[in-house]
Amino acid sequence: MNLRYIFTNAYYRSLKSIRDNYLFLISTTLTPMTLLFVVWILSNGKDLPFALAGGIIALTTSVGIFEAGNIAFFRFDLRYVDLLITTATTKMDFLLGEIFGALAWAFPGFIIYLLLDLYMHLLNPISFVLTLFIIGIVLISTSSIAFWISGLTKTSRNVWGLTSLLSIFMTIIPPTFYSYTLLPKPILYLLSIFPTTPAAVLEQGLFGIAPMDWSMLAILIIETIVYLVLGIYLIKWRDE
Amino acid sequence: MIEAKNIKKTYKDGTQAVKGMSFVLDKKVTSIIGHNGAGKTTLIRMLSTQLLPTSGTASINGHDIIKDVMAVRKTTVSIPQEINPIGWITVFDNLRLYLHARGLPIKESKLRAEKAMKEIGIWDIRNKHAADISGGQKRKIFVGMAIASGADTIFLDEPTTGLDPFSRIQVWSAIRKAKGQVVLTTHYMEEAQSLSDDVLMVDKGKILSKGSVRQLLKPLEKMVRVESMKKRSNSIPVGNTWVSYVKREEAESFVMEGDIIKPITLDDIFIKKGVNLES
Ligand SMILES: Nc1ncnc2c1ncn2[C@@H]1O[C@H](COP(=O)(O)OP(=O)(O)O)[C@@H](O)[C@H]1O
Ligand SMILES: [Mg+2]
Repeated sequence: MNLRYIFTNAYYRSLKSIRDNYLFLISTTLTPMTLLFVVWILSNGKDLPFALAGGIIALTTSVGIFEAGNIAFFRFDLRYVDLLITTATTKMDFLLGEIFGALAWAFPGFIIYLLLDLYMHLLNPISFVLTLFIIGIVLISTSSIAFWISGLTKTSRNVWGLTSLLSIFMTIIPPTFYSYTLLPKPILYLLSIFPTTPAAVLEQGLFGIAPMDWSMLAILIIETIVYLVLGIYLIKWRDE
Repeated sequence: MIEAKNIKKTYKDGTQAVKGMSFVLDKKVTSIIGHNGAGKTTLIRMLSTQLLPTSGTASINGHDIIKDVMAVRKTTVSIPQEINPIGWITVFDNLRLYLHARGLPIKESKLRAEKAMKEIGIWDIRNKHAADISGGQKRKIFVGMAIASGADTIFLDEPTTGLDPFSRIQVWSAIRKAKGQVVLTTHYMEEAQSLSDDVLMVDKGKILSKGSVRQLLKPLEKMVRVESMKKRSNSIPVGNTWVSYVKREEAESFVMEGDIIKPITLDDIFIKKGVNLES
């Protein structure tokens, strides 16, 4: 594993590029905030904890999914993947470089959420650590999905539509802004194919605003492994 | 040493870009020449493990490009024809990131990048964002990566396209000084002629000829090219002129008739073989 590449790439792709692309930073931070606001208004503040539990997961998910656009940009517009292939950089190094790069874009949002959670007394030290763990897992699984998507199309233009669509499906429909107990069990399990769903269920449990369902942890971990393996396996590396 | 064994590529849409090529390249600098669409990029992409051959294979210093991919990649650099630098980081950082990707330590990457930037003439723009430099300067970043890598084998797909004449000289002298074996493609015949040890001429996915420039030019030794507006016996149409080849001492009479006399270049070898490079 080439850590030097992974971290230099992450640094150049995140901190170094935020100045040129700060609007994306603002939009990734604000999109879940907007929903938070809507939920707060509509429920008279009652459902705010649900939106806080799910919002941080939604944020992570959208940052991970939008990696597909970045990878497609690198592949089709810069033709950079070809250059990287002939350096013995592995798919795994590339994926990890992307994931750490993506993390930085979500960072301001994370801080806002975690501060709000603390302010509302929703987090204790244990649930805080578990929350970070879940965020990490969701980032890996959604980036892996993004990896796969980036190889499906022929131009980066096509990827933008696909990622926007997936981002909606994966951040709004799962129980990110409402209690998961409202969903009939079969639908909950169906929605669990999106890593966002089990992650949001777990967060609600951790926040103590809905019953804890530990089976969701198993689902989350297993599907992350599956998505990771598929992502690495399916990403186009050498052209055919 | 690069050895290709009946390597072929047929794209999904049925285009036979490389129709079965076998060769051994063992000289310091080899140029692959051929007109647009001849299959140069496809060939280079296969040799440098970026594209899977449809059949056949090749080896680089004994490592098979299909079975032994990682060994090839570790010792090979390949600069794609249409590559672009990362625009929001500096020229210097682009080089450093690449050298890190090749596994070089931080300090070593910095030193090598600095040396290469000086050599290739991009030192003065090292702190500019790569989005803010000219196309030729962008090309130079990648040639800089290749020479800084210290790799055993270097593939460069049109490294000098779009460069001004002075920059081309800088790039070529850097290429000559590179540590490893270099294989490149070019449009500029005079370049291929003056700087490569070996030339691979390709057309429509096939090898036309291979050898040193001297060997390739042998059939037209002591001759000149006559470009005329009217057709003569044995003349070949090229664009809207007619080209024929005559002994040097006979050239005088053609000049009197208003024809243009030119020295023989590799272009003429293509023309002789029925490939019209200028069309
Ligand atoms: N991805 C592709 N799919 C289908 N045809 C292709 C593809 N890439 C190149 N070709 C075709 O293959 C032939 C050789 O192309 P290329 O290797 O790029 O030539 P050169 O580099 O010598 O100009 C051309 O006819 C080109 O149109
Ligand atoms: Mg080409």
